[in-house]
Amino acid sequence: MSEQEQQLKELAVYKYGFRDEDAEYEFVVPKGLSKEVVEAISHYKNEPEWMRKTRLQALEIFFRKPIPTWGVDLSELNFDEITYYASPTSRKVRSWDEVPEYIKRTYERLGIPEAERKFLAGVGAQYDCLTADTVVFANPGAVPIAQIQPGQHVYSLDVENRKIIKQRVKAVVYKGELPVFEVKVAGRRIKATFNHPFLALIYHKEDGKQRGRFKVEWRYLSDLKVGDYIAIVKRLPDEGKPYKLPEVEMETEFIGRNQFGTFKVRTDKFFRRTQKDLRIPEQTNEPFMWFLGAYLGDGGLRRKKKGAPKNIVDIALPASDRACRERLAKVLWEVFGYKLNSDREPSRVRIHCTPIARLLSAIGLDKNAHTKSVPSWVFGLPQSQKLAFIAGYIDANGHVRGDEKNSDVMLTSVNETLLRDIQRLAITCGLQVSDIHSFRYKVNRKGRSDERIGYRLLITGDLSPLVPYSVKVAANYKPRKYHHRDESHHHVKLDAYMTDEIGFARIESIRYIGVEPTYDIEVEGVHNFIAEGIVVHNSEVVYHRIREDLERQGVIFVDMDTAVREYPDIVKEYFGTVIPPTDNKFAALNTAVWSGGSFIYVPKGVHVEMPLQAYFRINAQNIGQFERTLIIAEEGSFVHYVEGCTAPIYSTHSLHSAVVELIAKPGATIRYTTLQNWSYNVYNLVTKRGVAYEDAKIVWVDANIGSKATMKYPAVYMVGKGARGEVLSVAFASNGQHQDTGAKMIHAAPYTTSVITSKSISIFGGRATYRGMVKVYPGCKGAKVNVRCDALLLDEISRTDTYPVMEIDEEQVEVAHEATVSKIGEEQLFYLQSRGLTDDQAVKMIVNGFFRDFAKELPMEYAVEFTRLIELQLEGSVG
Amino acid sequence: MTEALEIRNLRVAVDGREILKGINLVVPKGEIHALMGPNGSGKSTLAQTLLGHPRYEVLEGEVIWKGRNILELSPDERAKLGLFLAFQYPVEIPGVVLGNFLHIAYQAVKGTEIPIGKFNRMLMQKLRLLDMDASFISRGLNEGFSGGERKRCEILQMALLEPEFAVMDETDSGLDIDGVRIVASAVNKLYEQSGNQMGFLIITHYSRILNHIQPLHKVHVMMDGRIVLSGGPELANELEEKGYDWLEEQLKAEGVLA
Repeated sequence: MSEQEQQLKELAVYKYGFRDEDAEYEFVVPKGLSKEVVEAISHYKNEPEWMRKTRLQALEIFFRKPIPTWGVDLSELNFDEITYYASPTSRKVRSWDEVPEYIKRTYERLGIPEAERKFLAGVGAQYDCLTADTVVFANPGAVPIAQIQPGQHVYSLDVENRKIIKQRVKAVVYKGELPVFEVKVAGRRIKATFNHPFLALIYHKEDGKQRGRFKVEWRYLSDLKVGDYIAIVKRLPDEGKPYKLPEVEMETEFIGRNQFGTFKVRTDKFFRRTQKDLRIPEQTNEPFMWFLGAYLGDGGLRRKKKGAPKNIVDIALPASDRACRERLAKVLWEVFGYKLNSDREPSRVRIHCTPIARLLSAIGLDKNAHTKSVPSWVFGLPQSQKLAFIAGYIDANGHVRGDEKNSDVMLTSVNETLLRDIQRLAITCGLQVSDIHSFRYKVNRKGRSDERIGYRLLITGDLSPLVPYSVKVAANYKPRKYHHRDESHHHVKLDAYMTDEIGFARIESIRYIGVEPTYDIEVEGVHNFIAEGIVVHNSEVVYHRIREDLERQGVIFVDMDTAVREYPDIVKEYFGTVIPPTDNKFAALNTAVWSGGSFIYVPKGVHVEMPLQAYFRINAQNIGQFERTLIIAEEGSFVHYVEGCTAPIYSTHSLHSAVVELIAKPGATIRYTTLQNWSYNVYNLVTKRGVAYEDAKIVWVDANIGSKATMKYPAVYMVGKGARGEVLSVAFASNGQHQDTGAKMIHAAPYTTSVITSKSISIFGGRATYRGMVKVYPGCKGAKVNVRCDALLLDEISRTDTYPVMEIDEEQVEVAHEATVSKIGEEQLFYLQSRGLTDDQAVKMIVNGFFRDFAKELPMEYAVEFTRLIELQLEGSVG
Repeated sequence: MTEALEIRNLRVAVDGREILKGINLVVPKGEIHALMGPNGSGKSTLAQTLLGHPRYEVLEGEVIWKGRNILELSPDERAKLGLFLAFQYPVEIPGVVLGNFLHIAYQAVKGTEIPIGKFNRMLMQKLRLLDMDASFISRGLNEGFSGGERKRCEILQMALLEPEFAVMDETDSGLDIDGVRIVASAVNKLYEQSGNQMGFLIITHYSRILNHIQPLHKVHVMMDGRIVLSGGPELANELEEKGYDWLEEQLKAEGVLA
């Protein structure tokens, strides 16, 4: 081979993608296209007769149709040199070692962790999860993980900005009974499997260097040891709201008795003299929460005699606690308009008030010392009310120790769960807590001595937030001179890593507990959440676990070959109805030789929470060059499908021609996201079209980065009143590439809306073309059309063109069209460079800015991938 | 000799037309100089040339800073040598988040990496110093900024990048009295913080900003691409009162200007 040929060959190899030269195939049809080839494909797939016929008809149409002469240059495309079907080995593998080398390499290049690789390859299960009783800090409330619902919000850490934010839960998954370990850190305890990741602060020191540096990274529990720093939450953002209290019947009938017999008395009359101001507040406030805390700390509901209703509220405040009793009287008056006058008993205060007693049982607090717990809504209150609640608890049942240097609060109880709740609540308010310790004590009863177990919790550190609320803390509070904080380690200051909300603390112990039921949740965006006051990672593998959930909802998500076999009725009803083989030459080709692709059916009203991804089936090995995708969303349903460039390029073929058909029934929404990154030798000729019925919505989000030539114009046919179509398309055309992309919007009903946003960048002689078609049929009054295309030229040798076509046959429409072509400004480059950025950095920054609005539309991991790909494309040749 | 920014016989053309016709100017470190002059006299050309805008063609001369002729360096290398230009018309760069940009610029100029958390804390300090709102940093770079906001953003960058020599190109124009006072007090603070070591070349039309700057060492007047007059701070007020015409006539009479 001459040197020049060698160079040419290298040019054709895509720099950042990869191919699997040594993939094994068990069935390959001969090159070229003929009736025999199509028959062979259908036969090999064991397809029903109707599909075989459809294929053969499409083949004839393909031969008849002329090759398009517009768009990209197809003169080098030779249909006879292409292999139209090859089936890789479908043998199931049992262990990681049996997984073919090329698939392992693929995972390697994709940067998928080994555990997940095993899962993907079907040889291992992954289980990073927490025990069912783990309490997740949700918004609002604090909820055991097993009770979290998809769609609910939980607190997560924005790792980059070290801020606590609210994120939506995408899924909750039961992971089965698994061995778990208990981790103790800063008074907190959590039970997790060995491979659950925690956010750790790890000290790295290079040999020969005196000092190392800390790095924040995710570490599996199995890679952590006692003494390592992991991230804890010091407080939650104060964004709670008062809780609306249930309404309580104020009146009660009494049966009275006198010398004339029995009669009925209503309390409103009864109270007219003594408690005429009595009222029940509509929502919680600080004094009410203090009262509730005191009640929970050492109170209960009593009845006057057997059989009578529980209408007495008892709080065991001894008379010696003068100040606390005074506070109680004041609070009762302020909150309920209740005058406390039974202040005679030495050991307790009795409140004879049916409405207050009713309120307490209505909010679930009619329980005894062993069973009572903090209602979940208390966690959703404003911080001041939570502090008031803790203060009430302390005043009724706590002991505040204080001397010159130190003050802390000791709470003891026989109820460990209750103390845990108080502890979690204290954490959310930014108080420092100890772990909960148990102790034994003796009880003498009827001459017999019993040993019991009690629990103790300390609230330590800075108690000043409690001072305004707690009588006892205020009386004993001494500002501490020194608070222990983990401020430095190996002479490196840690405060750079800490904020008011997030800190790092040393693991005190890790201990094996046993086998327990476990769960995991998946959180949108940041992929972590806060459980038991500790920052933990969530499982992205949930993506791959969703199949069972989908089945429960009646959603079908399978590859197209399977769909033809298992759901022939649905497939037959819709296949080729949106894009018939007669549509264009490549649609005909695809219909004749299609293989692979996805089939999705979403039943009426079902909202599929997380994006369904083609990447899901990475090892299904039938991702073809001619995949066929069909998505049917029944009335009022929602689905988001993502096909990503992270799928390896299995084939050595040079033609990719897919067909995608979407059907959005009335009120349904389909979102379809593509990140195209084919190698530089591939012709990418794709037909994508959706039909949107009444009030339905179809959104195409389409990024084209790779390929030699792409022709792709996602279309929406709006056939029902109020339907909506959106296309958001970006293209990156580099050396030798032609990205001919755009959109097609057909308004065939009134009050339909279409939005096209196209952004392209041309560089190193690349060519980007926007080709758009908007048609509004007569009678579509009230239609709205909005088209915007921005092109950015990064050098003089590149090219960009715009071919917008608008056929508007109705007068009552709103049309907006805007197109800009800008060269990367000398002024912009100079501005960034004058701030120290190199030419290279400046171009990257401008390009990323240009695509930023688009990247925001992608699921996070795809946005990261997109940005990385764009940067790779820009690299090297700039400057 | 003390360190200085020294411009020697600088001749610069734009699109073939000579704008700067032999500038000679020395601004020692630790001094604040003002450059005044009528419109079109070449003040902005000088500012842009000092940082290396590619549109300005240097015909002759050199600019010596830290012992090197910086005209041979790229703009980013000049920035890394401690030079800074506050632009008269800062451009909009859509989609580039100001906070990210500042982080990258800071690391580029300082040549060190700094974790984002630590950086943000520092940034907040600077924002407080300039009495600016924190929401500023999550916006696009100059995207949809008002004229005043753009100028403040320039000052923020200057405060953050801590240059050793700053050229300020009409930063005061288009600002109201309060805006001018904020800019002037920022200059004073930065000068003070540098231990009176920073150098400034403040290009302006008006003396009002100069009245707030302490200390102002020298005022230069530029006309038709040359420095025609240099003097003490009092010169600024004199020009404000009498205008440039008076000076121009006098110089023509003396044969300095054609």
